[in-house]
Order: sequence, then structure tokens, then C-alpha cells
Amino acid sequence: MTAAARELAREVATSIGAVALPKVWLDAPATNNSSATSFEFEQALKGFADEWGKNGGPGFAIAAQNPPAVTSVRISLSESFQDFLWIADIVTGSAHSVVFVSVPKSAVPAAPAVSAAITLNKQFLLSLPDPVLDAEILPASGTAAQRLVVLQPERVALFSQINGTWQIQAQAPIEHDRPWPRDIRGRLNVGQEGGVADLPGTICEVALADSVTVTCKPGSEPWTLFGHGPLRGRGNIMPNRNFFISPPSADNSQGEAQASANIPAGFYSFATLGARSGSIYAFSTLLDGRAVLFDPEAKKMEWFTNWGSDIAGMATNCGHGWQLLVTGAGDWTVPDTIQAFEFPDRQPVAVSSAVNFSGPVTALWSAGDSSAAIAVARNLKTGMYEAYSLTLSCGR
Amino acid sequence: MKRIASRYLAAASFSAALIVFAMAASGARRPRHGGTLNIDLQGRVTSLDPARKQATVADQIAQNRLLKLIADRLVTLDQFGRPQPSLAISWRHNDKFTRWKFHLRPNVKFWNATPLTPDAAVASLQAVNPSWRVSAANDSVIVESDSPLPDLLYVLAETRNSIVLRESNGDIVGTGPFRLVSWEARRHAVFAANDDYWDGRPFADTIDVQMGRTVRERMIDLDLGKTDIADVAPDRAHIDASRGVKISASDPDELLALVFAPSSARAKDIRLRQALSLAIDRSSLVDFVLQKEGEAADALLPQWSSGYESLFSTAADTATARQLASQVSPATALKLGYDSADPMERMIAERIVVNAQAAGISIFARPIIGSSTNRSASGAANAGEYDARILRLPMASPAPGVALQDLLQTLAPLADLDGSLAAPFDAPANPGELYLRERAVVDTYEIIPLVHVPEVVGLSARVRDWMPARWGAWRLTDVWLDGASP
Repeated sequence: MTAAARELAREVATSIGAVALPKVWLDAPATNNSSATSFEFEQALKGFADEWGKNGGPGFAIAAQNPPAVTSVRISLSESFQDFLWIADIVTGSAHSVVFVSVPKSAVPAAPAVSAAITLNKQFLLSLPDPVLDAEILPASGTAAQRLVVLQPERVALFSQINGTWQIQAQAPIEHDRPWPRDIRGRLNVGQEGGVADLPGTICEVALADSVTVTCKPGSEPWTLFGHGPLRGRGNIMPNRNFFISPPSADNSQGEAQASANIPAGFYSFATLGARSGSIYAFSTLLDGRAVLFDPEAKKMEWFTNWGSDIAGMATNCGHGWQLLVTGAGDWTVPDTIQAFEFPDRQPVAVSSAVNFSGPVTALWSAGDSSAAIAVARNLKTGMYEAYSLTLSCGR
Repeated sequence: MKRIASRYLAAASFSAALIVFAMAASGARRPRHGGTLNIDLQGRVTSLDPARKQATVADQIAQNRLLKLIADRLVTLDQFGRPQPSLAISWRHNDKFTRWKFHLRPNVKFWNATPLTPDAAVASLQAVNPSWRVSAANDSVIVESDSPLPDLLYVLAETRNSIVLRESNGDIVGTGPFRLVSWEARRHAVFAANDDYWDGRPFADTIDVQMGRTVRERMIDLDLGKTDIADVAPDRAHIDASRGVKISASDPDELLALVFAPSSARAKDIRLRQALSLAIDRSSLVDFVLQKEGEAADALLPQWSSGYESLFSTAADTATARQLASQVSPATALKLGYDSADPMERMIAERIVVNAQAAGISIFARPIIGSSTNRSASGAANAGEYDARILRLPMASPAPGVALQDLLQTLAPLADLDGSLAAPFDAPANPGELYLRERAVVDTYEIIPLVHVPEVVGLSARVRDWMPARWGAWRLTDVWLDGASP
């Protein structure tokens, strides 16, 4: 934006120089007719003033009344369908000309997000134009540095960190015979050397080294929704749809079914929490917009509304030791939130502030040993899919 | 942050606000499959063939919306208006923009199971664009033209360039997210989800469209929950909002302009045309006729598209208008025509008459009988009797270069415009070039911009993920219904 303002100053100087008039006034104030923030606008104007001075301009002299035969320049920042437009409206006597300098909106970086001291921490990972279905951070191991594996509808990509940002290292396409459903879901369960990527009606073996190898085949096996806690949650996704058919199953490390058989059929997400007593609560978000908690020990169910479709269980060292992350209610036309809850007496109590996202959360999964979660939000301003790592630091 | 898609009118009553809140509180975020989406349209569509233009602006808008259900284009525009791959997955062009090559997406089928081939795409495009040379090459489509086509991507994204099969019985078959199940021209159509849609099955199972619904019928259907989406006249949006209907309005994407007839001897003097332009109080048109649902038009393209409309000024100046008008004395009063079937045009025309008379300009407004076809208004039975008429001109594209080009090519035969002003650009036009072109047109006063009007729709309480493009294009593939059974 500032570079464009500087260019405008040069263009205006060139334009006015061509007519060689004795005096130039910059009408004040310059106006911001765009969606750029006043901060961005003022910063860019400083660039204009700086460049204006370098090009022999007389500075920001303000004319209360322009005498005839003096060139008057009115600067404004406007906005077209795709660009920001710096406009200099130049009037010399009865002559009138206009200089435009455009800046593609995509070239203007978004203002940095404001972070707050909150219990639920959001760490930006990367932003991609196509949907991110799931991601897994692989910790450094031996000589191997930390890596990030990303599942997208058409590829599995491996990223490594260079200068603090994730840069693509390798990728492999996902072969599939049938079109993916809208609002496609996907789940990664990978370790250092690879693992499995589940997609609707397709299961892919993922091998990770310096390169990525993906071998897919049709399959309708249950997905492992979470699997590193004392329980492993599983669900069968409905082909060509965005939900799981039920009941969701949670089994312990011996494969014994637990907890959730009473939860109704058809769900978007599923999680379990260990309660203080050691019993297990199972949660599911249902197609009708409600969420349900099932306490197998008490054989009781609780129903909640005003939750989003996505939840993820977190294991921490504070509070009750388990928290549930819950997305906000509403549809995908509005920005989203995620908030952490605990469930004393089977009733939700918020234990963190709600963390804001720049658009709807399209994926939320527990990661690894459930000490973290991966959230993906579609930025309503840019259309990009932004992946975040979520952790809870209780007690702050 | 600038709002991207639609905006919701501030509800005029507390009850409306409550309804919106209640909806947000009860729904889940993730889209839900199933259900029938009912739609009431003002327009009547005679054919789904994109090569067959519809009679009125409302009819054409309706055809565009239905075509998007059943067919795709080689290129689509994302929510920000950027060209994106659709049936073409890549493309390239020569330096002069006279030859483009589009690589087709593999494994796409029309919903009658016929594979999409380059030959099918060629036939579809050639039928609509006879001036192009369209040919097939392996898995690609080549578009060539003697004149440069710098904005071809935007042109191909228009619904008239939908890729369709024209079957021998006249049926139109597409590759789109829905397939046609039932068709009663000008009245009723039913569409079912295309389970094998290459870009993912839509969420609604069925879309049931009633065409030619009157304002009253649409309002009643919304009130009774018989429809989920209905056209709302901009000047009625506040009424429907006050009744609890959720209202969504696009950015203003339709120009209402006053266009002088080339044959009018009475309007030959530019001073009279300028006087009329200065006499018109556009703010009152917006405030009282459109009930604030629109913007005063200072130029042909709205500010959100061009970014430079603010450089034009058409503030009412009755004193100067009176002075100019006094220098010109037409022997008889000017005749201003408007579409007899369009109440909004009538109200605008009547208001212009009041403004003009205040400036000493003698003018009267009369309906043009049997002419609801804006873009061929000169062909109406009595169109030649008028010195000027009001035209409704929807933007063909959100891209300012394409929209301006389309407007000028439409207006050139209807107004006394220098043909060079409608000439195509040889390269993608920059804002400065567009501004100069538009300035040259506006300064002739042959075309007087009046107002820019949005597309307004009313939504039922169960409609979710209503995310139209800011220029009004519907995205029904993503819409889902709260309470639907998958």
C-alpha cells in the first residue's frame, strides 16, 4: 500500500511536471474511501509525503482557497472490485486530469491478529487456498527436525519449518474415483514414518520420509477420531456426506467397547472426557444441532444447545485434567469461536475465554496425545484456510 | 473489514431482530444434507438454453439463476471475483489475447452420463458466441478471435457461457450440481441433487422453483413459510424486513439510467440534456422511491466495482439546470417513457418529471406499452414516440472492464453514442482507461445515470449458509436447510 502511494507521488509529479506550473497544492485532507484501516491509510500517506518531497513537490501545503492557475491535487484512497486505488484528482484552472495507481487487494497483508492472555492458546501454522481437513505436527526426532503433515482433499503435504514459517517439503496426490462430497471431512493418524489418512469412502496409506507416498483404496472402515488417550473413538462416515453414522464407538486399549452405545445415530463429531471419578463422559454433536453427553456410570444423558458441530477432547495437567473444545453456533457466514469447557455434574462450565477466528471453523480434531488440537478456519476476508494448533495453558 | 457477501437489513422491528437471533442460537454450524429448497422468482424463463435470451431483465436474471443449478462454465469467479478453474483446470493465451487454450477437467459427466468432451464444450460456446472461432484439440478447447479478448476469463464465467448439451428433443443437459427433473416453461421447475457432481453433491436434495410470482404472492409465500428464497423488490425490502423476513441485498449491481433516443430532435441540444441531469435529485430517488435500498448513480458503474465513481458528481443543481434550460426552448414537451409493467420505473419517471418541472423543463412521463424488454427497448411498439426512456441495465460481470464494455455495447444502438466508445479494449483496461471511457460517455449526457439498485431476496428462517457473491450471484450449492432430514 505504501509503495503504491509512493508510486502515486512519482506519477503525480511526472504529470504535473509535464505542464510546468508554478505552484502545486495538495488539497487536504486526503480521504480514505476504502476498507483500509485508518492506520494503513496514514502509514501509506507518510510514504506519499516522503516520495513527494523527494520528487521536488512543495510538501503538504494546504490551500484554503486555491488561486487560479495553481494546480490543485486531491488525493484519495478508493477501492474497486479487486484493487485498492490511489487516486490523484488534478485540477489546473479549467483543465482536469486523474492519475490512478492500483494495488491488488491480495497484495495487501492483513493486519496482525491481536493476541490476548487467554487460557486457550491459538498458534497459527499455515494458510492454504484449498481446504485443510486435518494436520499433524510431528515433533523433532533424532536428526529430523519438526515437521507438519497436512491433509487436503487432493493431496497429503509435508512441511518443514524454515525461518519460522512452514514451507512445503514434499507432497503426494490423493487418487479417488468418485467426486468428494461438499464439506469433505478427513482425518490424519500419522507418526514419524507415516500412517493413515481417512477420507469419505477412501482410506490412504501414508508413508513419510524426505518424500511423501500416498496409496489409496476404496474403504469403509471406521475412522479413528481420536486415539491416544485411554480411549480410542471411532466412527463410520456416511459416504457422500459430511457426518458419521452411529453409534460412535469408544473402546479401551483392549478393544472393549465402552460408553457411547446410547448416543443417537448420526453425528458430526465425537469426543470422550475422563471425569474426576475416573468414569468416562462421551460427547457427540448431532445432526439436529444438539449436543449430547452420556455418562455410562450414571446411565444419564444431558442435552445441550448452542454448540457448533465440532468438538475435541483435550488432556491437560490442570483443572479436572480433561477439557472439551467446542466451536460456536451459527452457520458458515459468520466468524467462529472455540471455547474450552469442563463438566462438573455433567453441566458445562466454561474454563477459557472464547478464542476468535476470522471465519467459520471447518475442522477441529484432537491431535496426538490430546494435549493439543488442530483447528482450521476459513478466513471470510481472504477465503484462505488457516490452520492453527490449539493448546490449553490452565491457571493463567 | 469490508463485508464480502450479503448484508442483512437492520430489522425495522424488534420481532424481526428476535427471529434472526433465534435462528443463530438453534443451529449447528456444519452444513446439513437433505430437504427441498423452495424458491419464488419474479421472472419467467422460457428456456434453459443459454443461447436463448429472455424477454425481460427479471426473466434473464431468473434464467441465469436456474442455469447455475444445472450447468457449469469453463471458468468461475470466487467470492472475491477472481477467475478460478471450473470445467477448465488451466488456460493460457497469446500476447495479443486473440488465442486462448483451455485444458478441460477430466472425468466430468453431464447428468445424462455423457462424458464432457472438448467437442461438446466447443458446440456449446460456439452457439452463444458466433464471432469467436472455437475448436477442440485433444483435451482442450481453443477460443480465437480477430479482436483481442483480454477479459475472456470473466466473459466465460458469465452464465450465458454455460456448457450444455442441446439434445434433439430440445432438452438442455448440464454438468451442474443439480439435474432437471420437471420443467414447465414460464411456470415451474424442479431440480434434484446431482449425486455425482464433480465438485461435490449439493446439500439440498431438491429445489422447487415457482416462476412469475407476483410481489404479493412472493410476500405471502414468505409469510406462510411456503418458500425459502424469494425475490423482493428493493423498494419493498423494508416492509418485508419489518414483517420478520430475513433480507439479503447484494451490492448495487443494476443501473437505472435515462437514455435519450437518437431520433429525438427535441433533445438534440446538449444543454437541455445537461439541464435535465442537473435537475434530477438522485438522493430523493434513493430515499423515497427505493426506500434507501440503492445508491445514487453518478456514473455507469457503481463505486464498489470501479472504485472511481466518486470522481463523478451529479448533485442536483436546480438553479444551473434552470439557467441551462432557459437557453433552450423545445417547441413541445419532452416525452419520457418507462416500462408499463415496472412500478419502480414509473415512480422514478414521475419523480424526474417533478424535478424537471422545478427547473423549468417541460417533460411528461408515459408508459411504453408492451415493452418490458429493456435491452431491446427500441423495438417496442411505441418506443419511437419517446425522447428518452428509463432503462434497467444489470451488470454483466463484477469486473469493471467487462461490465462497462457490456453496458456500452448495449447502449450504443439505443443512444446517440460514438461507436468508438463501445469498442472493445485491446488489453485488460486499467482504471485510468476505464475512467476516461466512462467520463466520455457521461459527459455526452446521452445517458444519464440515475440509481444503482441491488438484488434483494427474502429468506425463510431455515435457510443456512446463504453466501451470495457481493454482486448478487446465488450459490445454492452451499445452501442448506435447518431441520432437513439427511
